[in-house]
Amino acid sequence: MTRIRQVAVVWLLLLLDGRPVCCAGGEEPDFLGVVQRYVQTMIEHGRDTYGPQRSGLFLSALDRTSLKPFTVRPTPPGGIRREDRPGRPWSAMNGANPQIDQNLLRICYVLTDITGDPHYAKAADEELTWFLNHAQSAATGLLAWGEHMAWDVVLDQPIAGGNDAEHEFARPWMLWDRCFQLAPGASERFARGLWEHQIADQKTGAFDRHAPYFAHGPRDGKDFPRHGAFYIGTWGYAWKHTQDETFLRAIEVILARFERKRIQKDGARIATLGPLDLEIAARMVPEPLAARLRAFGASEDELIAPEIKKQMAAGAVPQWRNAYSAGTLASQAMFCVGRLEQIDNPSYREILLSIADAYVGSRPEEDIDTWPLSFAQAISCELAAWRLTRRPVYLDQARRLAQGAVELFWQDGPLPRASMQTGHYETITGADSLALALLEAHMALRGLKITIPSNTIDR
Amino acid sequence: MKKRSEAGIMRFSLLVLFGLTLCARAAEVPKAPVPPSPYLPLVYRYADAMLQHGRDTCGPQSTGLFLSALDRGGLKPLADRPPAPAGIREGDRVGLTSEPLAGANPQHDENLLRLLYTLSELSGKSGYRDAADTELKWFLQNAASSSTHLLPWGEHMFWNVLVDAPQPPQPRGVHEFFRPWMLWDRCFDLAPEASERFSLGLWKHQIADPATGAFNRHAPFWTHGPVDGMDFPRHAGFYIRTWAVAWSRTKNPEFLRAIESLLRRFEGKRHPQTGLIELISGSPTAHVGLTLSLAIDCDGAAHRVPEPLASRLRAFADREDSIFCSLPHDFQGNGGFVVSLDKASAKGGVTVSPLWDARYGGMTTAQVGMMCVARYDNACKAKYLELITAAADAYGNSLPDESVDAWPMTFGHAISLQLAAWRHTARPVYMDRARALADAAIARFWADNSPLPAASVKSRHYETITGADTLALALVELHLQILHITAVRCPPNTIDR
Repeated sequence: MTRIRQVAVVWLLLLLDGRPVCCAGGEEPDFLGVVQRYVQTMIEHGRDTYGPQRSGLFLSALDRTSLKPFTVRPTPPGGIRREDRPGRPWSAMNGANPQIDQNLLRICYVLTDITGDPHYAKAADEELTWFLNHAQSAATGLLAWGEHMAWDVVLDQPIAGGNDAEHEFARPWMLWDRCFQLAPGASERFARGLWEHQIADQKTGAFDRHAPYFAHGPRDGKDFPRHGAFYIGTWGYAWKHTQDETFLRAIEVILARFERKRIQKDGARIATLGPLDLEIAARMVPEPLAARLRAFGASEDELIAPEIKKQMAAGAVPQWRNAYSAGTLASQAMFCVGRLEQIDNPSYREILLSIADAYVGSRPEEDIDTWPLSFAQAISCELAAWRLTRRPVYLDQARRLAQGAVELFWQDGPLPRASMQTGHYETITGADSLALALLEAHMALRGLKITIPSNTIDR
Repeated sequence: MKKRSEAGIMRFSLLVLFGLTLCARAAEVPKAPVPPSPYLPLVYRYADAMLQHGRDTCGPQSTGLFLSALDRGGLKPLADRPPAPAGIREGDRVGLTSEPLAGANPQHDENLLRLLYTLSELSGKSGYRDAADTELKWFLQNAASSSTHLLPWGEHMFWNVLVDAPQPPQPRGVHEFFRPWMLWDRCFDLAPEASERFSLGLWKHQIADPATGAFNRHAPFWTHGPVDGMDFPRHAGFYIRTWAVAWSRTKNPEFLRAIESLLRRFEGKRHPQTGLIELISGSPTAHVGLTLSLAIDCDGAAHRVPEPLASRLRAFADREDSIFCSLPHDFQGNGGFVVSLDKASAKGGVTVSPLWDARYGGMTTAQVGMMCVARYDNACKAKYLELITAAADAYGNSLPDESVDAWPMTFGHAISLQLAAWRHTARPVYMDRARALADAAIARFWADNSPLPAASVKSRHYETITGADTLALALVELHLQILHITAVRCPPNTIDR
């Protein structure tokens, strides 16, 4: 397609929609409109209609001008590793990775709730159903998603961003209930595969966050607690939907591992799994495991809150600069939000408000390649502070940040940019989380009551 | 694990077979090769040569400062004074007129210092960073005027490594910034008192009238004596940036007063109809290249100072954006960015940027293009992207002809401009051009076996006043982009303004 035709497509889209993304004269943008147009554009132009199989999966990267898959590998946003992107090494990025699009899928469901139009939810359902039924390794049951894998929509096969096809979670997966409704067999196979092919030793719970996708071969290695918590969450849902006790045993083994690992050689205790996924699982599993999970989570709270305060006092956490494995201050606030949705905790409340204060009047530092995720978490942090205190300063700042984010990332296009210093669409930097934050802002600014999923999964 | 039935074993075997088939399918797709990047070794060679041979071990004091000019063959200080690259004034070089070039000027070498910090991050070797730190610390603590606390660097001064003294000697030395200084945070880390003294000296000894902000870009180095005169907007931006960091590091309110004074001066200079700002007080001409530079520094400073000053600085930058983007920049033929024009009409007296003809006081299209990159990367106004791609396109098939004594700086800017267009559009033509320009630059400036780049196409010596450091930075940026490395971030190549 020629450049002129590509531009024409975008303009046609603008004309058909009948309104620009940003209002003229600095008026407050219509945040719901921005998100609807983003999702509608993805539904019309951003789904897999390529290669032998038209899977309908959302592409995780697109050319924002032509609204087509890439024929090249665009420059990565700052802080993104090349092996984590949705494409084969050094090749065009043509991947669909539902984990990095997870908040886009959650938005689809919410848009159906808000508008009553079922086609948004239908697109998400189609993605989940197809992916679970087709992108699973026949050998391991693991899925071609997460930190290093994707589904190549042109070649129609699982691909890895690096040299090895490794399964690793990118985020906790919050859509298991829907997955078990849509594809119960495949969902159960994945949960079982996670136990049999990600965990190297089912007695000690030893694992590595990386596990071979195509063939059995789990290792005892980098057992990052964060991943252990994601597994526990997954097995909690699996137990809920299957009542297979294997999943309770799996939870118990990983929990026991980190109960041991929490105590250091010198007797000091360190935080490990974090409380969020444990509480999620605790609400689904029977006693006494549920109580054990909750007790573990409570101990984590005692360790985590002082640690966050210590980091804040040292000024060790950046406000805006995001990178692989390095979140911003607002990401810590979103952890607090997640936990405050589960329990009351004055320390987390104090931290959240302190971070919200830090973002009042704040904007990205000079020359930082800021991600949409940084704005997303700052907006959601301000909104959480507003919900807690009803102080207008937080709602005002949320509005300002949301408006700024629309101007910076959407500009005059229907899809957001991957970062301030790149021009393409790529969800690994949290375009989906930013859109979720815009919906949250829309609801708060208009006093609407529809529940927006908690923007706390980027952790 | 449950004991498997025979049927289960069969099913399991089939699944394994299917899995292996998938493996095989994945293997069928040919792997794309790692793209070649020959650029970084060249940069390391340059940096290593400077660390080994390019530091001051001459004279009574071995300061460790990087020499800003060298004999490329012998890798030693120049014993003579080679002809200046085209467009360079004799008085701006690191040697008194008619004397050998034996000076160190950290402002000329600023991108070399930034490069060294980047190379330490890339290589994990601290030697590069240590050398840069040594230069900054020594220079700040030893080279300043005891009277004004200004530093012998910039446009007209340097540290003579043979006699170990600031030059020109008393009473001639004149302090003038050559570039914005982006290393203040590191300076405050390494030598906080000296950095603060310089910042205060800039306020007390560069600014002639604190009430009006009147200044001259030239101020006596050796003794107090600022005058009201050539108050170029570009320099005001450099001062504002310096004071913004100084305030954020010291919380001394004097620095906020200094910023406020200069900002008010330039807010007041806008023409009531056109909004354009005079080149210097009383001039009928506006130079939008210089005011765009001021806008970059105002926006940068806004991140470091409190409200309401921050908002005022941003508003100033925003206004400059509107003005600059509204001008009829046209890159066809011999066109380029509009850089200066009649202040009152915003029409007559237009001069435009050339592609390759770099000279003192001039701005090439790539140079102005990099200012647009600075604004687009920070303010994200779509019009700047149009200008960036149009300027990048202007270099599409262009290389300097043999009559032009092109500078490494211009190639550095042209490469970084193409990379900015590539980052923001994902159109591979820009990456291809960046590579082609880099290859052309290497062929011109590293034509022989010397690890050091030549000062210009027609020069044989090394002299950083023409931007060898900027070219090296562009090559690092190119390397990082080719190999998609983001763990280390290249400093923005936007300080030559």
